[in-house]
Amino acid sequence: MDYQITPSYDAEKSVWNVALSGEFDIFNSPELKTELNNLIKGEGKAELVLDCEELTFMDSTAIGTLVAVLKNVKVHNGSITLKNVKPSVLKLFKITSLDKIFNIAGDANG
Amino acid sequence: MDNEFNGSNLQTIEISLPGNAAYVSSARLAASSIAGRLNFDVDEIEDIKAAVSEACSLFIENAGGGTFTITFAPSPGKLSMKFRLNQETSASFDDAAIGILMIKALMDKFETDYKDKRPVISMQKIHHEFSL
Repeated sequence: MDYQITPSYDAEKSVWNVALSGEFDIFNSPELKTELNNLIKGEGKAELVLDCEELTFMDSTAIGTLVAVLKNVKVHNGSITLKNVKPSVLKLFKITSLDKIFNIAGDANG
Repeated sequence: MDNEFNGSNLQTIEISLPGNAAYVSSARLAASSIAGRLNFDVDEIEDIKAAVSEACSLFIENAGGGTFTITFAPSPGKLSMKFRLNQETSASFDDAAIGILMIKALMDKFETDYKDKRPVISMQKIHHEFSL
């Protein structure tokens, strides 16, 4: 399964921009969790912007992982923003009402 | 190659997978391919892929290293799927689990069964053009 987690640090804004591509499910969610938590730990800064433009699929395991990372981020008074979320992925956030706890900045078609 | 199933080539497809997370994407790929041949639209196929992924995750969490079988039963305008654990377990699915809630929201029919201690998840997606 093709997937990538590509972080880059914006020093000016003190934000980690993380490009997610491919599919995330029960298989690679543990890696997603480790990668994102390491970013928070590494910089002592907990602002994450996840660019989902190339994210083609995410299931409840991956969404649950983001919730776990969000809890960690909130401990550091930070936030997680998701941008360019495809409608099919956004639908899953809405079904679970988890769209209310993340900042979702717009979908890939808009 | 025909682009869709018709009355003469509607066949049941069965795949058996190890209770290993690495193969969930294979189940999604199979479901996507079969749904595409039934002329489900892109949104419906995404719903089916998500539901299949959730069901596989539930079985992997309860498979205890065993295997489970997915049966795809296409028919005109609808796709029925049955997930069956191939060994006995005392485990059952939590109806409030996020995966179950997702499947219920994404599919038109959903039910669980625990006959002979072998959990079964059945679900069905109806192509919206057929349900009008």
